[in-house]
Amino acid sequence: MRHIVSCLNPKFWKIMKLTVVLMIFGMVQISATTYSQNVKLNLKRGQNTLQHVFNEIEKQSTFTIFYQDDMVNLDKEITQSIEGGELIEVLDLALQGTGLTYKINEKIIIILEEQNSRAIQQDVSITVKGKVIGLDGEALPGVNVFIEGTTTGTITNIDGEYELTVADGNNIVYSFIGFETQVIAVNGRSQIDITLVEESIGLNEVVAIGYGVQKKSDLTGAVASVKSDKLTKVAVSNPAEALQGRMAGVSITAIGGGPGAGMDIKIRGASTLNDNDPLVIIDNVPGSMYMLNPADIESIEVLKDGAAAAIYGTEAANGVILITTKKGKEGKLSVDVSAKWASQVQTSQLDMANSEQYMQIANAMYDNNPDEDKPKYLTEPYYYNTDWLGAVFRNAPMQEYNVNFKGGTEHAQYYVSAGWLDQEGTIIGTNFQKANLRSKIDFSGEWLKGGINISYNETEQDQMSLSIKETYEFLPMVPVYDDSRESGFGYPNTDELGMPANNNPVGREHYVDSQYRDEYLSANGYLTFDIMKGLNFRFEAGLNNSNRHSFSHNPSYNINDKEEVFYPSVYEWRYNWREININNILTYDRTIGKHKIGLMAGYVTKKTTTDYVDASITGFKNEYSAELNEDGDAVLVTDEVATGFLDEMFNTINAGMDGTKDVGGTRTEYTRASVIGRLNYSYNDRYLLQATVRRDGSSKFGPDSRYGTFPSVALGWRMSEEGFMQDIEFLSNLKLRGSYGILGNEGSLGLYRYLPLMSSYTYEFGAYSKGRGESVWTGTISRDLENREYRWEKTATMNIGVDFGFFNNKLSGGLNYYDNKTSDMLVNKPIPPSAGLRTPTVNFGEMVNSGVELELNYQNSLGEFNYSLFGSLSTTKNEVTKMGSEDESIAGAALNYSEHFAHQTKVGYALGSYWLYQMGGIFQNDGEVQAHTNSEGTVIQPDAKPGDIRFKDIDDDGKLTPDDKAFSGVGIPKYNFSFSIDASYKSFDLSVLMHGAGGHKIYNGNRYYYESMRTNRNMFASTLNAWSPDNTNTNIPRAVIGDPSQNSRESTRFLEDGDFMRIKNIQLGYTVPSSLTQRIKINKARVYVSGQNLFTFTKYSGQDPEIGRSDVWSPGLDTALYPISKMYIVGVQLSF
Amino acid sequence: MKKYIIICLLAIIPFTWGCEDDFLTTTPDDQLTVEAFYRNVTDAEAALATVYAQIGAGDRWNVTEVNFVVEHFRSDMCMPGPDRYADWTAISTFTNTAGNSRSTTYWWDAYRGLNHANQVIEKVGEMTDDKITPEERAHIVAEAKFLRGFLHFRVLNNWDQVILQDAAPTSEEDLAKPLSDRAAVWALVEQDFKDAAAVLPASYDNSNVGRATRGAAIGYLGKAYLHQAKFTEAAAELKKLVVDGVGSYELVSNFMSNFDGSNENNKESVFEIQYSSVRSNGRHIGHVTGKFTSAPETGGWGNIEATQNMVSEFKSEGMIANTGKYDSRLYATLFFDDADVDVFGQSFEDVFGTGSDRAIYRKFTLSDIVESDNAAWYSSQNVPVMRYADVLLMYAEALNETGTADAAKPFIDEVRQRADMPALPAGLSKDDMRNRIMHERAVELAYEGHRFFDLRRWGTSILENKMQNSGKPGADNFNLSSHAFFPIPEAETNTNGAL
Repeated sequence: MRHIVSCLNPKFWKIMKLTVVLMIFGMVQISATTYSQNVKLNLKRGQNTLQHVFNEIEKQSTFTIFYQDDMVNLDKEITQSIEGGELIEVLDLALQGTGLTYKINEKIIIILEEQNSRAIQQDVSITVKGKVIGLDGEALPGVNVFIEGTTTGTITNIDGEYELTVADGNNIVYSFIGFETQVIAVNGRSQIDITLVEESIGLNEVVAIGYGVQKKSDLTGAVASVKSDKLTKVAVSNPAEALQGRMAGVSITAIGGGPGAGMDIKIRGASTLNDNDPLVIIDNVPGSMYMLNPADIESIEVLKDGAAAAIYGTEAANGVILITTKKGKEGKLSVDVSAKWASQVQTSQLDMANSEQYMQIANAMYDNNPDEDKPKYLTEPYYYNTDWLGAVFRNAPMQEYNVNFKGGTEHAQYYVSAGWLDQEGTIIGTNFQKANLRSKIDFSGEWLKGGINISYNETEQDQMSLSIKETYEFLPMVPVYDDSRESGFGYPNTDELGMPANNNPVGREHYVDSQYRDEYLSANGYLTFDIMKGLNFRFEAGLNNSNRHSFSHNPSYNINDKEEVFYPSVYEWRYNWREININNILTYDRTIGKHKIGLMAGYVTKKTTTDYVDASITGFKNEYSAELNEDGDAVLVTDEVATGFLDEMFNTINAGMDGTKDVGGTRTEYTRASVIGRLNYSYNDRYLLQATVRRDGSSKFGPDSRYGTFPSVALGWRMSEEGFMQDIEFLSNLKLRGSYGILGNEGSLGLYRYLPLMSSYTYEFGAYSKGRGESVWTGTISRDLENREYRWEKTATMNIGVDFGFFNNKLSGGLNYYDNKTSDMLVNKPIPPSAGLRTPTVNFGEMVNSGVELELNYQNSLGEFNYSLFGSLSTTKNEVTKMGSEDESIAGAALNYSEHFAHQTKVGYALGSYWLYQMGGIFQNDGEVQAHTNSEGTVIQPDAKPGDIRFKDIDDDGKLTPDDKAFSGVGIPKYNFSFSIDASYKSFDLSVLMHGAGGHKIYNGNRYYYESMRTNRNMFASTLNAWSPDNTNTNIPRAVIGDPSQNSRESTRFLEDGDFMRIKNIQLGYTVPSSLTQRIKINKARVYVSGQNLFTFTKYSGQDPEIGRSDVWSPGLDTALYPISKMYIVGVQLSF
Repeated sequence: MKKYIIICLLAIIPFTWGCEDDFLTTTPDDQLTVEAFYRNVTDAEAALATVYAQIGAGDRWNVTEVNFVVEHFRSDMCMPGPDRYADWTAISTFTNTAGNSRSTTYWWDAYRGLNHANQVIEKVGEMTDDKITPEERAHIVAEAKFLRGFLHFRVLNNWDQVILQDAAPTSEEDLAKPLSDRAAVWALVEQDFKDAAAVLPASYDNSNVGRATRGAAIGYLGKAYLHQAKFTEAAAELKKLVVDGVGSYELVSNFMSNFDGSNENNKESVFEIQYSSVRSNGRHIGHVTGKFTSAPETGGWGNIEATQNMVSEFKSEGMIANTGKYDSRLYATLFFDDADVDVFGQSFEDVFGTGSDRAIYRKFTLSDIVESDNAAWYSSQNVPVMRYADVLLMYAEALNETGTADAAKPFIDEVRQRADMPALPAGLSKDDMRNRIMHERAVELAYEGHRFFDLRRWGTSILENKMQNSGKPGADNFNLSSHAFFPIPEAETNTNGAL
């Protein structure tokens, strides 16, 4: 018998069925009339429960019993005494008076609620045969198949097949728990195959909530959930990317498009100023999402509001992502194999000037500035017109293979998987490989259960050695390869012709080998004990261990007139990160009448250690000698001589043994300990209460402020259960929820920061030279603010929500409003340079995030066409409400060393809002320059020339100063939305996912770099449209080197609307009919084609409107990032 | 059995509770806290080293591309070379903004050094006699005070509006300090140099050469007075070095050897920033001034050149040197179009082409073309920031302003003599002598970072006149109110709520 709560999960049903299928696959089918078996029982009246009967039946027969947990009261005592006999008799007796009945097909017994009559009408005309499968192509056994309006029917066998005799003109109803019911007209057919679609919200579905699970219907917090079938639609190396567009309020953006790129995940906006990564819990213990194989994921839940996340206390301020990996199921071995192959193509390229265009614009720039001498190369003929982007970018393949084996017995189940992914980058020299192994074993005894879950993951990354920015700004007149140069690579002739110096990016990629490998081991085990009825103790221990091996090597080379590399060098870095988590959890669940109580208490500890050793060797050494100078004093003479490296291509530390060495290394340790508690209470399944509290202690704080206590409370009301709602026919579910909780955060606080520490330097930033021997004088000083008074950062979160379902849950969804207030933010706050300290972490200010989230699901079928639609919309409003002082302002990233700040954070505005000079057109003549005055008639830009930009004098003081920067919008999208379609027709299935964002601005940093004409490096071809007396109808100012009028100052000139919508993924699949595949012993074979990032709709002129940045002070800033690519994918999935 | 296992497991909980405070206390394995540090004189000296590191600019690039750019590019005698960077050129053409990365970094480095100096003054000052002898303590505090004075002096020289840092910040409230009265900062500068002069030794042994001496403190005190036009006080201080023989300073015979690393910390050196050729273990206490200054034709990058005004200034006395040529310092300072110019064994024309009107600085350049073509763009030669020649000229200036021109004359003649130039005529008027001193400072100290500040202290009309007639690109843009000092860096105004 498969009881256990997970029976409530339709997914479980499906998997169970699969294992049963496998168990008897190939066996001779037993006729439906011959299932009678004898069951021996000796059960006395009044002493036995239904559970016992089911147990015995399963033990003594080959039957598996299915039932729905909340329908069957297993503890019901049997009123009759049963001594044994035929199965049917036993069942009839056992179920007498329970309101339950049963159906038997092959090896399955399904317990159902009793219907009026089980009599089968025999006036027939047609026999209809068919097969029922799920969307994933797996056969569905146990489906109720009956004639509409009657109770006449059958259930499908282990292969999902059925046979029913009907009158033509009848409709056949197919119904199954957790799936949408379908009604099909017979219309004279004798073969009707049906695909059933899962109910999108099975209210009985169970979701993870942290240190436990809960039925979706009982949830009081804002929890979003995604299952594996959705996650595997998108081809990704990082599972985070697969979440994109699947949940309202969860915004996921790639940080660049490089292979193996990290993801910027924000749950309900940036809740804190530094560390915004949500906590990731994999199978109950913290883990790395990045290292996880997406194919191993069973489901992902995101805890969005404070009440839901509060059980994770101080790690939960940015939300919690709970990942459950796949596990084995009782039954014969089953094997899934999948493979995909993809080609990645650049989505969009910046339009850089070619040689002819460059010469034209650069000459104009110099001609317009009398202070600048024209470099020689601009007056010389050129012979090359190199497409540097073409030389550096490429189309790149990706391939991925996965296999898993699962199965088990009643007492032990296993899931073993392996995966391999190889993705080349669209920039030369970049490559990413990921290998995954996982073994998950669960065992269960009578009162003891346990499991071991081990995964080993390895990634290897060839890093980009070249600079993307240099690629864009490289002069097109220089060839990629040049035989007249010793290295064979072309580079700007700086010495003789005055070309701006740059490294040849192709040459750099050729000479510099830079890579790293991560070896990530995650090993977790758990034991649970049923101490007494309802009381359970769970012990969990997990180790995550990550080794990083970084390596780089270069021979001596010259690909830049100004930056010749004289010596070969090798650098190696070995880094170990280790985390041990131990959970002790006690739970107690009890139902007394209409009162349902759940209690949980736990003690949770964590210890994280890191250490590293690095070493490098460079192929030179110093040789010293003494000489007498003209005054007769002895003077030390130092010579640098090349040494080591027998062969410059040798790339080990030993290869450069006699060279100059550099070593380093250190260790760190971090610990935390927490007590947690949770109470769940529900009355009559209608009134729900959840209260949690967590007390955290962290080694990051000093002894006086080490502990923080974080409570939460949540209430729910399932209105649809109330009597007065029962008459509303179209309403199937309605629940109101409200919650309040306080979360902590310490993420941005470094280790040991409560201690005032001294730092030692043996190199230039803190050491000096002294004495005639020029010996290095090591320096030691404190560079941090001596602050031991750190407090926990706190976020108070409020959430009000409603969940609803209409028309038998065909249309369902949820609406949430949230309001989060973060105070005492731990911030790496830029401080005045005059303080002379490193940027300190301080407790600082307050910030509010609020928003509305809506999710809608609709699913239905038209005949054999099944479809489901999902849409989400979320809004985010961020406002900084308190800072150190009222008029304090913190600037974002500077685009040019210490100038060009587009962002400021100020009280009353969103974090990192744009504060910019306001561009008010272009001066067409001197008259306009003179006419641009303040209210007192002072000419605001007296030095401007026609063709320069007119900037507004906001404070009317007659000159342009930083006070004239005005609020110009925000870089954080005001709203995000997504829409997806999943549909199937016969053997074909189609899914489409699109997402987008809007209401925000993007600061196009690339236009500042390549359209401002400040320097003579290469620029956009659009600069040809610069203003000139002959070309006045343009918004690009005049071309003048050095930009004397500061037309390129931070202004609305470079600010653009960021609204976009992207079709993230389209997938079309075909499942080969099982009648064909089963001949070669394949249960399911599906092939698909898919396209990723195919279409993007936006007015933004840059490469990609989706800007992922980890820096919260400068949202929406677009600089030379690794561009994302389109992907064309072909894939195969096989199940055995 | 079941019961026992459960009981055992439950027993873990109270056990782990018991040692929780120990569990939650972690400390670094290789760093001391401020309290634990300052154990002995070695620790005190290590703290002091970080202050010196900041006057060396704390970074191999900043020495050259920040300090040299900030201190030279505004001068009427320097202009950008063929290889230009926008924010360097902006300083030279007076189109620089408050966000200029060079002036911002200069400000930042100075204040980092001031913070370190204050830590040393406070923490070493608190060290007890069992950890450090009173003499060692007084010496190290005095050295830190000298450096604090030196760094405040740098800031005063470059910004009109400055922030006084006389204590290391200890709380968040201390981080943003308002602007200070310049007079208050000058007062602290004077006091720091006085305190240092009272304690520091006149010289060091071979292993400590390069550290601040009594002579350096006196020299800088004199200079600080001079910058405030306190000529009487300046004369009194500088007299100690020139007449009383504190530090036993003398001019070295080979003028060029002050700048090419061949004679570091010599008897002419009053204060010299030290760099090291030791390169093991990531050490790189050097700079790139050689490459920066040298023209591409001589293996450098060509980032800076001299204006024609510089050449004219040198030639202004005519070919009256004992050698029969121009002032000998001209040939040691510049490569320019002249038959007597020797570019590492080649003629100017051969290297720079016929008819070139360029003038390339020779001080701090790589010593020959061959060397510059290989690895040596890492320079470790020391940068003298106060030479005895400067002291002599300052003393002469102070005497001229407070007494007679003739009293000043012998000290100028001493400097001229090394340059093979004849002595000045006797009986010059005070004004004539002042002009002579101005000329002498311009040529003796060319490309040593004094020119712009000298012009400003000689008077705003002199500064304005010289700058606007320098003939260098962008000279027209010079405007006294905006360019006599740098604007406060945007990085400061962006973050300092007290401004």
